[in-house]
Amino acid sequence: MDLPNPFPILRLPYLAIEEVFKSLHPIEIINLSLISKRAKAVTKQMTFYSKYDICLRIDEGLGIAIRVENKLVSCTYLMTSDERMNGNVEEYGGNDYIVRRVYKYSKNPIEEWKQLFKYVLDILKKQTLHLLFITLDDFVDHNVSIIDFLRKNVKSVTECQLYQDEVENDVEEHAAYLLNNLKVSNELHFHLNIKNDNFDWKIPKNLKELYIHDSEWIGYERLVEIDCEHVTLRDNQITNEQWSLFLKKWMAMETNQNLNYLRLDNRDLEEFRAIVLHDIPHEVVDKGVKRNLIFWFPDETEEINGGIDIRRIDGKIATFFVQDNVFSMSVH
Amino acid sequence: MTSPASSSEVKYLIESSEGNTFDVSGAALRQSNTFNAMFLNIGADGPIPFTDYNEATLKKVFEYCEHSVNEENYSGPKHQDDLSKWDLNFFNEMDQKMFIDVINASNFLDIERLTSYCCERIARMLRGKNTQEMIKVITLPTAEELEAKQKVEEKKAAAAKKVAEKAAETAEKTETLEELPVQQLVQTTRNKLTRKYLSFSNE
Repeated sequence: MDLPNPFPILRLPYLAIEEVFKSLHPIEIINLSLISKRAKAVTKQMTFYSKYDICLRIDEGLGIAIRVENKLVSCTYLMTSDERMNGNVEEYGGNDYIVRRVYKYSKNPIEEWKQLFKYVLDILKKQTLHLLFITLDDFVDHNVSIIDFLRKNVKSVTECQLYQDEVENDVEEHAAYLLNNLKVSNELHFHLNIKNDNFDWKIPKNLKELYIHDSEWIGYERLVEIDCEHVTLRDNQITNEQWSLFLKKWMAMETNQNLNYLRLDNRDLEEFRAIVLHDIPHEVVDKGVKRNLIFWFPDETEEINGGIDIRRIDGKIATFFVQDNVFSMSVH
Repeated sequence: MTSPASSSEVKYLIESSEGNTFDVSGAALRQSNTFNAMFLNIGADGPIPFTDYNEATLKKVFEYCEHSVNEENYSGPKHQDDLSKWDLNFFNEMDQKMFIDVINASNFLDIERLTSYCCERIARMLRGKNTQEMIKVITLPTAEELEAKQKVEEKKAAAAKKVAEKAAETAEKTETLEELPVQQLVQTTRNKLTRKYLSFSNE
């Protein structure tokens, strides 16, 4: 039998209310906070929101997701201009995760999305955005205002994923504007087609993860400026001579001192040894030697057979190996 | 008997808000973290006063504790569907007032399992609901009602302020209009009297 309605939930002791709130979906907490000023005040008092992360999605749909404990529960508001979709809820999941989507109709979805995001930040007492997922050619006319809005309302973005739908679209100016105005603190996934070698953006240092899908625009000058822990440069145009120079600088601790793992396009290890390492002291490790080396972010290790080692002046070793068709440099 | 509990046979006397006392086993009481923190190691001389709660509520709470003595250790909230028949009967036979009293007492006594099950029942009322649907299950004025109420109060306050201002203004005007003639009158009278006195004395 259910409890009789209506029930004075907000008059219960604080700890009991918190216990109730803990077992609700984040969207239900937001819904409850919208009931009244008192409900909002009570909602803001909760102390367990540190396990919540806020994510934004700006692509064909505008979304605000609240993730609980690293994706165990993900609740997303999706703005829609289709009135019939308003309030529709989609829910799916597996044994260890639940995804819930709530559609929210608006005549002015961008403005309402901004207001809702501000409200969610306020209720959950967040100043950082956990994930910004943005496709820069979907809301071209609004990119600048969205970036300005984010700059005003969040201190930093923990993880930023930049995309574009059509390679022929020019998104460089907006990408540079975003990256120069928002502080990305942990991970940056760059899936843009940059045509301009003078792309006006300085790669932030000390990122945990820097993934550049199409890195033709990363020349040697930019390479030595990078100082992130895990770096992936796909389709880069850096020459063998430049790689050789880079490694010498790395060994002398003159560049990329924070580098733990570098992932490049697949290439033959022997050819790399012959062309790039020919004038660099190195050691070919026997294939029978098995070592656990960093192979993937975040610091996941895998048992690697053999490889080629070079040594930095402080004693750190970088091992080059090919695993699963991926050419890697793993520092240990 | 009210001594430090070491076995489940030990009984404690509990005192309710009515001043009534009744027995609770040590094993049941030990489910209360509040009791554990306050009395477990030092014991209690005489009845333990939980006098913020009435006898019926405390008996209900400890009925639950006595029942769950032999259950395995609490390991987090259970889904409602996992509750036993006894648990369901226990909750279903309470009216709303008793249910709220039980939550309050359970919260004070810090009985995790009972508090958690009670809260889970409340959470069920809210799950999957949007704001409008939640308003129906929560005893609260809506944001619109509060806003309307606030507007009415603001209007009332504005009207009262207007009346007060008008009254003050009227009083001020009255003061100016009435007090001065009185003062003048008094002064005039005084002058007349003085003149009269002077003239009299002169006479």
